[in-house]
Amino acid sequence: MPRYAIIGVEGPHDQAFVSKLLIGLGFQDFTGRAAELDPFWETLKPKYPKNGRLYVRMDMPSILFTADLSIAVYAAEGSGLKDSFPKAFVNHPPYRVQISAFGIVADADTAGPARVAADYSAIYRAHFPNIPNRPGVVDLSAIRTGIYVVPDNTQPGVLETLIIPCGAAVYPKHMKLARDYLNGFAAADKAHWRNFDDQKALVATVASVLRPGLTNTVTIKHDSWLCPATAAQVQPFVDFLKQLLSLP
Amino acid sequence: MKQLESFTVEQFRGLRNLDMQGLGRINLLVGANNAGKSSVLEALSCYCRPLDGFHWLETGLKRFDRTRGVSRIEAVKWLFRQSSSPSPIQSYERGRAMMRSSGGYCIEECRAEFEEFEAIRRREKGSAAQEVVETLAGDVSGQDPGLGRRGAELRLHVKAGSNDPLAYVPSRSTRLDRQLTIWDDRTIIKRRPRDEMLLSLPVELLNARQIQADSASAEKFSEFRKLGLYAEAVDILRHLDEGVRDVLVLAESGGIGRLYMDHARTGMTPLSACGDGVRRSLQIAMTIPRVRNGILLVDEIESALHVSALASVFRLLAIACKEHNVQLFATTHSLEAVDTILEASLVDSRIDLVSYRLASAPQGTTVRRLDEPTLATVRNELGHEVR
Repeated sequence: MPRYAIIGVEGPHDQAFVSKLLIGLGFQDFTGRAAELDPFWETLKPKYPKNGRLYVRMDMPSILFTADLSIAVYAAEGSGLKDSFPKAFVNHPPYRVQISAFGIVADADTAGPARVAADYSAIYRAHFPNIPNRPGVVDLSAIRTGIYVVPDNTQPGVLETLIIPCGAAVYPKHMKLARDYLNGFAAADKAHWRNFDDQKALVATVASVLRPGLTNTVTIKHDSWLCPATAAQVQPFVDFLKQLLSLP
Repeated sequence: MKQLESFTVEQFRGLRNLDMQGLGRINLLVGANNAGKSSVLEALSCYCRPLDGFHWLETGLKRFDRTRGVSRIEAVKWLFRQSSSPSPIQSYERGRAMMRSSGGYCIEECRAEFEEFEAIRRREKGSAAQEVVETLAGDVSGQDPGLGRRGAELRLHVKAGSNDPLAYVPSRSTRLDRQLTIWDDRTIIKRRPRDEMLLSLPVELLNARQIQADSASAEKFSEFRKLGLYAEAVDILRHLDEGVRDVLVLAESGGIGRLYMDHARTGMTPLSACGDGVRRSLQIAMTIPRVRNGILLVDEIESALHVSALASVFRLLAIACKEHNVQLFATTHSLEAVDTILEASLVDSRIDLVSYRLASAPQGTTVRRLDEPTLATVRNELGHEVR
């Protein structure tokens, strides 16, 4: 019987990022065929439509697995990781007691990493009493728990803050041209941008060249942002995953 | 305060250590087959008439096909948890049940014991007409089998709580007991003393197999009309079938009242000719006033109802429960039913819905409670399975 782990992330970009790194660690991506789904994850299969909204996409977690560990990477929308996802553990207690690890991957876009981790810890402590309240720390109890706040548990930022140095290493020309292109826009054109939207736009611009018409999520999952050449950039996060999931 | 705020079952049928806290006005029981959902309804049914052995017997009989000749003793025996280690004498069973509650209901605890015995009929010497029944609690092998008869004792004990309606009676104990002897080959005479009635809650258990026969429905419908609830019943039927113009009782030869539906397409149509959905909805609707201030138990609430009709039927049902101060416990296997009932409860803040998922575990029957906001989040935001 395999071990199980759940990782909650704040959106599909983060889901793609975690999935890509897990594949790099030897995990396989689930085919998506319902008949092959591990029965343990059956309860996570979402109903359609959500809340009667026909255009809202299905949020089936990404499932990644090895012979002895199956991981569900759940991407919440909006504030769902704080508001609705905790209810999954009320609804289905095995996700609280029969897993070997639970982790959160969050951005530090609206508050500092310490605050972000403390807030998530307070929410999930009802289900995982030992979950650390400091970012990047893994509790080594029977169910390992931890919260990683990108980019590096110390500075404010988002996933793209972590990805951009990777892009500079593997796509230097694309990155330079994309930056020049974005710099060509007047400040008024960017007036509606929020914190770190410039970084998201930069990755998106490169993505539109690498994968025209597709999203940051797709390029993060399928291109070379995360590869051996950029391993050092993401090593702290990989170390966090290894410790959380008891990987060698 | 609701009739029941909490309900715990230490033992009843296959249930063990079941603990349902924070009951709502509408309580939806979900869970896999054999998790004990129907048993919870039966436990509640017995608990609401805790000194009425005949009601316990009726509750036990509901699971059996009565047209095939059911042993009363068997029917009651299976209300009790059977011994896990088979006794060398299988025929003589003992069992016990124990339930507790908190809330407005005057009873806070009910215990029951069941014990089978064998009785031997023999004639006293010198008194040809006198038959003596001797009970033996054990093996009677070796006796003439033609003389033996099976019986069982059902002993019921209750403890009244602070709402005891008989508390004014001087020196009255808060504990009461009753005993019923059950025979398979002898009529059981039913007596219902006043204190037994006062210590009961109105209760009805509707299971999916029992859609009322016509004459019973006619009687119930008449009662329903006398209570001024006719419009509600017809309204429910119109939600199922727009062609329904009226429902009425017509006398047939022999003076037997029969329930008819006046339908735009088919004219005067006996209710027995209508679909199960119509009959089931009417049955549920007509039962609510009968259990005013009590408990309505519905097994497989979605049974015979198309999901498109369930929403309107359930909404009216929920409102009627509120108006008649009825607490509803319903089981379902249908996720569509859960969603429809949830949707109705979100539209109407009066509904007060709680769901309980039952599961069998080595330590007993586990219960996972989801209040309405949590159920709404799990189903509508996460879209996760709750059954």
